[in-house]
Amino acid sequence: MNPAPPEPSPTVYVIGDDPAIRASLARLLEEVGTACVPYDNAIDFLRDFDADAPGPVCLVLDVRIPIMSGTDFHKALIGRGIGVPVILISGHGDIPMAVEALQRGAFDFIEKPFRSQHLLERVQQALDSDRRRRHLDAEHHSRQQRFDRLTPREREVLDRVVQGMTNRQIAEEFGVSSQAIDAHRTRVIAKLGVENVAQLIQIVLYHRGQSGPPAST
Amino acid sequence: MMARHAPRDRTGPGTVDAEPVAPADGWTQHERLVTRRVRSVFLVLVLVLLAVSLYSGYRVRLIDAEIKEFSLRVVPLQQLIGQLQRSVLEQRRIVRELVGADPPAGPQREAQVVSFEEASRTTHTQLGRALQLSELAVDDSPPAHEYERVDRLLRAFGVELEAYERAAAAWTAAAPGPEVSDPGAADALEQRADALGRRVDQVRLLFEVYAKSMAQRVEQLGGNARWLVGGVATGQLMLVLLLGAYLRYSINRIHRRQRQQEQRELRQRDELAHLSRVTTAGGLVAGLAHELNQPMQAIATRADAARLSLERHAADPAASRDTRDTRDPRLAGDLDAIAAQATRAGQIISRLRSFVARREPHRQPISVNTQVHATFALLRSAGRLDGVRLSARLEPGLAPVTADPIHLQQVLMNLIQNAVDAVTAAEGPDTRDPHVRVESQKLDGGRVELRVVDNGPPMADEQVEQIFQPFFTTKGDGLGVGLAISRSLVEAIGGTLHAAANPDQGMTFTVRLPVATGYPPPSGVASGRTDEPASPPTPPTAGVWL
Repeated sequence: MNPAPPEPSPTVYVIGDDPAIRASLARLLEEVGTACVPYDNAIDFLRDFDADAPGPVCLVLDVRIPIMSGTDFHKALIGRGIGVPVILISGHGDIPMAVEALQRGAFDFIEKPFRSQHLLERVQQALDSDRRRRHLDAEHHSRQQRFDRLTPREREVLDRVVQGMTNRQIAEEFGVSSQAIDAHRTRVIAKLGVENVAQLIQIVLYHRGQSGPPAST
Repeated sequence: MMARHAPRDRTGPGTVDAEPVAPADGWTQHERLVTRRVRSVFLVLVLVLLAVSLYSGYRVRLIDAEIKEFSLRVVPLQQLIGQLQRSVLEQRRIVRELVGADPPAGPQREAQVVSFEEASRTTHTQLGRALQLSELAVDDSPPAHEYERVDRLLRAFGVELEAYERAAAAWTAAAPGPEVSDPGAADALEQRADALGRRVDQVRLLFEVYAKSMAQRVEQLGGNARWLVGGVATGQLMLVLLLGAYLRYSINRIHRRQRQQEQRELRQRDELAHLSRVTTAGGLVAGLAHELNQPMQAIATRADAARLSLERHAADPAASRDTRDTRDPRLAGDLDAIAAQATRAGQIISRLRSFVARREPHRQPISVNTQVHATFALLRSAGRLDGVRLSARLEPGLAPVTADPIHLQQVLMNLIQNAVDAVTAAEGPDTRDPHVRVESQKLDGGRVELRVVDNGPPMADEQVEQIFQPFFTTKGDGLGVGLAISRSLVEAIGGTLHAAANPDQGMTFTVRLPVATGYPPPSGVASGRTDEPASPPTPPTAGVWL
């Protein structure tokens, strides 16, 4: 594996209708060294936002924003598959709205008035979460690439290993020697970059848990 | 009459609540007591005056009767007695001549005898009439005893007269011829004539005394009668004045009562308007609380950022004493922002406060356009527009109207809120662009027109009539008094409020208000002056889209 490049600086997008709130949040975030990009409406943000840009991001969203309400906008983000953590801010303190937002996957719902420290903490946590998400995405991606390198026979052997069958049982099923199965297994372990069978089973189960059951059953 | 709503805000400015609670007929206990007292005093005075007048009138009638009596009987009787005396004296003179030392003879004597007989007849006639008068007077005249004495004397005189006449007859019989004379009969006759003369003198004297006293009494009675007549006239005048005063008092009382009634109604309308404003404000409060949160949040965040900045610099060993004072220009920006946001919060509160505060209405010349802007600010800050597009198309340079600014805002608020509710409640293809527009325009005849136009569903004509009725509402919340109050507020300043369906879609509510007195209708004449003292500079174009 290549050594990780120096991490790009995090960016917080602030979307809200009130210029005073936007400016004060930008000022606060810049004070703690976080780049902040304010938007006064959601349409402009969606036009400008590049999901593939490096660096952790998070969204601070005032629920009552022009043209599109905050919750509608959040729905639109999810609909486009943009997995940025979203911190909703509302002055209405509406419990059903908060529950709905959290169920839909918002990172947090903060009610006005809030303490700056609380917001900064939650922003840091959201950035960490995004960082983790990006990391996991990258891992998942490389793992997927490794799984993709397996031949069909190797995948069949892998399935049976994970199911707990011994080399002999697998050899009997396929009608080949157990040495051949052993060779397959060694190659699979090498291709997936693990050290032993225990780690192999772990990574397979983890991967399947993340991307659904495998196509070949 | 509407029930007064008892729990009132005692701390509010201008509460007029000192008078006791009025019962159903609008009179207070005190007023009723005063009225009863005044009424009884009037009654007693009228009765006293009436009694005095009646008694005086009765007395005057009695006096009149006496005076009439005097002039009808006493005076003629006195005249008759005078005549009687004269005729008796004439008889004596003739008798003395006939029986004297040198009696006339021949035809001269004949003539004397004839005149004696004539005088005798006259005496008889006069005595008869005098007796008639004195007899009649005895019956019913007040000084009856005087008449009785006169009557007695007259009757004695009559007896004397008969005796005299008998003596005269005897003398005549005794001396049928002129030359023959009976000295005895002549003496008797002369004695009789003297007695008769004494008797008639007695009657005359007595009656003169009586007549004089009667004349005095009549004169006195005449004076009394004048007084009495004066008293009666005064009493009647006073009666008329008293009744006039009572009438005036009653009329004043009715007028006062009407004024009080009007003031009560005005107060009730203001209270209802206030109640309606409070209800409206209740709907605005949630939005305004959110709106208030914005500057508060900005202030808190700015303050925290500034504090963080200070802490960072304090911990920075590189920051020298020289740079510390000018270390961060952003701190000044933070303070500016905090001040600006605090002002903003204050404005939000004062806007709501001035809309809700209970106070006496204060009419003044105001610009309708300014009130439209103020209402928009309140509605926007309350976030009650729910995605409805709100715009204004105001004619610049409108003459001011005389109105209470808060009342005008209330009318606009009700109409706009109503329109917003209508366009948001509507469902269908027409609601893609929910839109409410406020327009102002000058009219001919010194009037200004305000229109609130929406593109919601139109109403049926019969419903248009109903919406101005109090407590009519199509909404779940609200009192249903908004439009009724609006119409009453507009009519109170001489304006009109009407609603009509638009030809294409939606409704238009039209308010027409008279221009304030002293401001000529802005029709070219007033080109040199500004007609809007209270309004901010309005863009010169006819259509101003907000």
